[in-house]
Amino acid sequence: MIRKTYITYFLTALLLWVSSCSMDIPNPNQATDEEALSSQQGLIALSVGMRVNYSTDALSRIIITPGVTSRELGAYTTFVNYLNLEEGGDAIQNDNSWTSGLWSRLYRVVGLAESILENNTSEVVPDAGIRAGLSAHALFFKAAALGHIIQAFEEAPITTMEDGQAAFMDRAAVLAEVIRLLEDAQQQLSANPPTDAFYQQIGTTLDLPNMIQAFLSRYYLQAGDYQSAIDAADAVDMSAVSEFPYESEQPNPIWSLTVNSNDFRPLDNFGLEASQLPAGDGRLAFFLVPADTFSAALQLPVEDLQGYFSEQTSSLPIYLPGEVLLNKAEAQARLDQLPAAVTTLNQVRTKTDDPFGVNAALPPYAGAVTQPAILEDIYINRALELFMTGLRLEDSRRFGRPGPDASDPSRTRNFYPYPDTERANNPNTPGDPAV
Amino acid sequence: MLRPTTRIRQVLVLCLVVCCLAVPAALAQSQTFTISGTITDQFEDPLIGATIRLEGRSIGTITDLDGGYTLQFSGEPGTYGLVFSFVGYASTTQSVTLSASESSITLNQTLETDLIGLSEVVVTGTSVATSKKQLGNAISTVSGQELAQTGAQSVDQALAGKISGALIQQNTGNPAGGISIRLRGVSTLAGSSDPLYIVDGVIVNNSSAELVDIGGASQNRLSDINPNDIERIEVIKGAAAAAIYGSRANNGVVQIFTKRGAQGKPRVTVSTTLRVNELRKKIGFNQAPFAFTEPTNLSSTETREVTRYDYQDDIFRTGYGTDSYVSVSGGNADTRYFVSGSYFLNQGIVENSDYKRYSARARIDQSLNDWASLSFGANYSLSNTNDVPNGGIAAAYGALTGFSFSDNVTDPRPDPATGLYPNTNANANHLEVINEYKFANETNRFIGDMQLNMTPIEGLGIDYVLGVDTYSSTGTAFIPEPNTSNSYPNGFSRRSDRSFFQMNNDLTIRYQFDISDAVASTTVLGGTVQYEKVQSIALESTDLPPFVQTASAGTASARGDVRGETVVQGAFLQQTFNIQEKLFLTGAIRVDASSLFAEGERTQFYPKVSGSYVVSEENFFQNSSLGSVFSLLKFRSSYGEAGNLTGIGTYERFTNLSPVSVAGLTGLLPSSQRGTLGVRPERQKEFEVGTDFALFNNRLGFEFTYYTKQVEDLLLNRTLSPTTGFTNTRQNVGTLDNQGIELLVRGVPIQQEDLTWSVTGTFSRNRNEVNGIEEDFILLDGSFGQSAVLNGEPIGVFYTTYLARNADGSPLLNANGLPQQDRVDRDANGQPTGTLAEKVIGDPNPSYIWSLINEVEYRNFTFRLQLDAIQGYNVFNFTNRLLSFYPFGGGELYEQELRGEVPKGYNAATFSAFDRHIEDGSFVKVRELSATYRVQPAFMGNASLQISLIGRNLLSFDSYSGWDPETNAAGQSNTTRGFDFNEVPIPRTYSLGISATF
Repeated sequence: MIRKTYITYFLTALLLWVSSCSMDIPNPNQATDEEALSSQQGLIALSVGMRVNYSTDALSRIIITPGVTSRELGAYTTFVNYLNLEEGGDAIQNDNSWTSGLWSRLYRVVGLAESILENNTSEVVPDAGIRAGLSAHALFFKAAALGHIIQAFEEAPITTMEDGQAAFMDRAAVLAEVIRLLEDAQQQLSANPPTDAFYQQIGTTLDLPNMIQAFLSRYYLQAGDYQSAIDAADAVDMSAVSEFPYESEQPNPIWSLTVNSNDFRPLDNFGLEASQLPAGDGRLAFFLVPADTFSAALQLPVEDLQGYFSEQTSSLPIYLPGEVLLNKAEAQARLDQLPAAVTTLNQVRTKTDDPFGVNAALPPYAGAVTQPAILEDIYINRALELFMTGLRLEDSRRFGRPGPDASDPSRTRNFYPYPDTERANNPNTPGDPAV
Repeated sequence: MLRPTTRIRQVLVLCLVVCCLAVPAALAQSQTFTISGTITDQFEDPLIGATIRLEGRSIGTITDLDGGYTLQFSGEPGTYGLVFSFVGYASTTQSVTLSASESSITLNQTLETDLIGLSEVVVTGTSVATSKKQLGNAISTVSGQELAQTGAQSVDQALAGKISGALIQQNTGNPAGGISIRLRGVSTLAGSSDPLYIVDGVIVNNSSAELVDIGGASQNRLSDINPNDIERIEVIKGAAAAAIYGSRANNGVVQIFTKRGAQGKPRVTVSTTLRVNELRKKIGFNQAPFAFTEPTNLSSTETREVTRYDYQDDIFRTGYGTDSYVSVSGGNADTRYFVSGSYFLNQGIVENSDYKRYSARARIDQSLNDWASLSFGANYSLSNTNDVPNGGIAAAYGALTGFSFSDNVTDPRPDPATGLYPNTNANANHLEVINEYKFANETNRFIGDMQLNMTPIEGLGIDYVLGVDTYSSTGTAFIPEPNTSNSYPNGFSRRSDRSFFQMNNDLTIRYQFDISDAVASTTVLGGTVQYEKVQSIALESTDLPPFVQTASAGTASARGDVRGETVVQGAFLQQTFNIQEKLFLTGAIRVDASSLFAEGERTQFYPKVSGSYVVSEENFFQNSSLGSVFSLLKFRSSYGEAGNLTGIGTYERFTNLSPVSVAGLTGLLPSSQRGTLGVRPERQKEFEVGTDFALFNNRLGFEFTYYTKQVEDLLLNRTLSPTTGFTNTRQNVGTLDNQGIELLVRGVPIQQEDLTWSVTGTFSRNRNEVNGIEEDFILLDGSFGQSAVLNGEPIGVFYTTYLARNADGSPLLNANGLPQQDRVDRDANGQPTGTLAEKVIGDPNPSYIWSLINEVEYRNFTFRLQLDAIQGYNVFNFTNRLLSFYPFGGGELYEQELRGEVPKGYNAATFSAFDRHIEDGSFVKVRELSATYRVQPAFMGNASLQISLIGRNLLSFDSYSGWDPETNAAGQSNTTRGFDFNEVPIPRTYSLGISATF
């Protein structure tokens, strides 16, 4: 019987051991979406995650992609998609990672914002102030993402769709949605202002009320609602500063791609003709360091970059005070309030105390007080003041600068083709723009 | 409703009950018996190392240097079957009757050569020995002796050309290697197509984890196993055979058996080998003694004088190596042992690169009583490398990267005064990389097993295997400051550690009995529990202070702490009927559950059926005219299904939120990959049919197999519309089909007492095609987006932009007279217009592969020649593309432009017309050429001495313009193949070895 007993013991012990193995092993490395979306702490953590993602992954595409197309930057490496981006026109295929990355990274932010908004209920977040703060924060970034999308693509969905078949809206509808989101954010904040404790958790470098007004001035202007643009600009506290912080593990994304790796370099004279540059403009020395070299695809002369891109940990402005002033000046000029426009423009031209150091330190405007002349000076000032903020492509179109087919184009595309990944999965994707 | 895991437990319980009931109580009086004798071949030459095994018992021994053996065991008087076997010879069974009066007998045996190995005994399942004759599928066997003659440093490298149906590619010439094995094609897109490796019953890990980026190439962990310790290798190709191994086995199984001790006095083997590695071929470089004054101005042809350097001379060298090995084995009737130790050193052909491996192995076999025995094995190895980075896909700081991204007009040597290296062009100075950058890898590994074998009653066997494979690897990287790398001008340091633990428990119960005189039955029931734990940690910093090399210096730029656990539980039942030793039918079912998948999809069933019919055993056949020609004729066929667990990461079925932090705030960021809870394991269905036959009294043998395998429910990272808020998700979509043929021919044209000439040839052909992908194409990693997966195409074709051509195939020139990329349309002037066009421009999958081995034994000499060929595949020569392009331009193509043989700007114009750099990689290599001399010198008593001179990768017949068409910058990537970008070529190796056994 010994033989049988041994074997029985052995097999029983083995069986007990086997049964103790669990098949549902929790993940110690990451959280699940159910965990994050069902608690206030989870929503706050998700909000910080969304913003960090916007300020790194998304912002690199927001600035670089249209920056290259509108001749702010040149490619300085031989990767094919970089060369094609610089060449522009037909060379930008639907799968170009720079244009499809702009699209996908911004819709990722839209999706994150929407999941926060959807779960930000009074059951999960009982405090009305924190709830309003979380909402305004998410609404702002959703609006900012959609705003940058419609500056680069002809049409776009205004929400994400789980089934991948989001409907596309035209430019006016998208701009209206961007404005609606920002107005909603502004109203929620003023109805239930969150305490400082909320900002301690979500980020003290953000001044949400002023960020919202500054972006409202930008998108009212793009939508052609000039008086609202002026009013929003007036609502911005010009001493307020909102910026994205970076550290060595979340480095400044533009520093990574320019100063650090030299993948992209700024064009000589901000991509303008030397003759267009005001003499003695302080912004030239702020942003550019002379270098004697050329871009990879089009052999354009390029310089070295500095300013708030010079260090791994340099903070980037969420909006520039100069943009608010230039939005206002342009709205005034387009409403034919020319002397007022010159006054506002001069605030930019003569600025010497910019919180980000963007100081033209120029004499006041001395040109003709006509709408075209003032708009021309506003365009040049936008090109310098708002260098590498992701706005030049939109400005180039709005100011009617020479298009891609011109002999000396100010931009190599008007709008980008839609990414393959969208077209392959979403039957609503419209046809690509010709150029 | 039972939970799936409960079902598996029930199967295990059932198997317990069955075997407990089956165990009898009876025990008879036992006594000690001794059988001894000599085993010889048909020329009466002693066979050394042949196996003698007691049928149905785990008792056996092997023959000594004179072919002699002594087998002692205890048991009850009666008739015993004694099985004699040896690789390459037909095994045979003799029955002996032992009684109290006749307790000691002599039994000599002659073994006949068996080319096909039809009666060879192979081990299927984890411990079930089966005659190959019974199997409905092809199994290849390679003996340790064959491995010893290859001059290879690792097991997988040694297998190249030895197995039909296996595509074995060495991806890099780095001294630690990096090798891919594909049995019957690729069987997954997202996971790994590596076969399952089992060493003495232990599932061993073969990951290619890249701890620091040395340029795509990385070691695969099979390199930790010393080929000297291997007794034999069995390769089971495909799902049909592997079904009972379950969800890890759809790429086939490679079972490695290491050497064991045998009864007798201690046997000592000492060997030492000297190795020499050298660059097989240099590539052409720009030798024009002048350069353009204005390189980008196409209208200027003005030049200036320059000095050109051959940077290859700075990078490559002749490397040396040694391989020292000692083993001692022996034992008595109850206890047998084998211990070995080795030290292997291999210097790379790139300056300052080397690989060292120390290993020790022990195995003890202990008989507990006359029905149970215990075996214990332990293997320890320590390996370390000094690596020289060579660029690759992600990093730009390599030595060969420096070469291909350079205009070769700068003297690369450091300034004697400052010690600083000059900038040679866009990327790091190659000499600086070689001399100043410190990259290293180290791995400590233990593989151990404990096996209990019980044969409580006749016909019943119970085997239990506990296997443990655990290792820790450390990778370190250091780039001092200042340096010429663009990426890390202020220095870089990284340390990454990975610890791996895997345990497998396998219980196998088999019962054999005769249903009638004509029909014998074998039933096998098995259960397994496998547990795996992987933990890795990494720290990276930049902006280093002077003198300090560790990653805690400088500014932290990345950190990572990742942990994962996986559990697999499974059970199988297999039934075989043996009808008159002619017809064999097998059916099996395996059930598996893995923690990688959600509960609803976790449990999977994998069936298999197979049959084999040995026609030559039939009387009517033997009596027919065919019978006199065919010494053997067998038909076989099988169908089976198996799974793959590697297509999805440990927690990948969830939408995971990773921690992020900035400016003192921490947050959570969801992955851009959306979770899919309901994914299933990929499932492979394989059918094969084949025949084995031998002609002319076993002088000529053939093994032929045709197979189809279809992988369903491919786990793909399919893209989502970005307007979902995600970019991709892991889903079961698409199918992958492989079909092909394998042929093995062995012949012995001359077989005389003093002279034997044998020839072995293999031929394999595999076609693969992907279908059912919902998007147009999926771009693959590892080749800058040049490799893709497309419906209706083989996996990993090169899909990209190309040169516009006229109808006659000549380049369609633009207005400047330069070639150009093609576009989707042509304008009124016939010039390309619209967006850039893309198409399939090359296929890295070979049309066919073959090998030819000639072996001549003359008296004490053996000469061996092995040719390996991989034919009909494309290599993307990305290195050449960069060498041709102006800002770099160190290559011959740019020299043509300088010399005016092509218009200025030609190379820039074709830079992204990639078909210009697609080349035919087809090669025939002299893989092995060896001469061996065996002698038993009188002054050394009974010792035998063997001296061998082996050449490996001596010559390559190819038309490839790069260093080596065999390497791949994407390393062991499953899908991105044939991409040559700054990869170290495979060296030509000479080794001189001497081995003594006494």
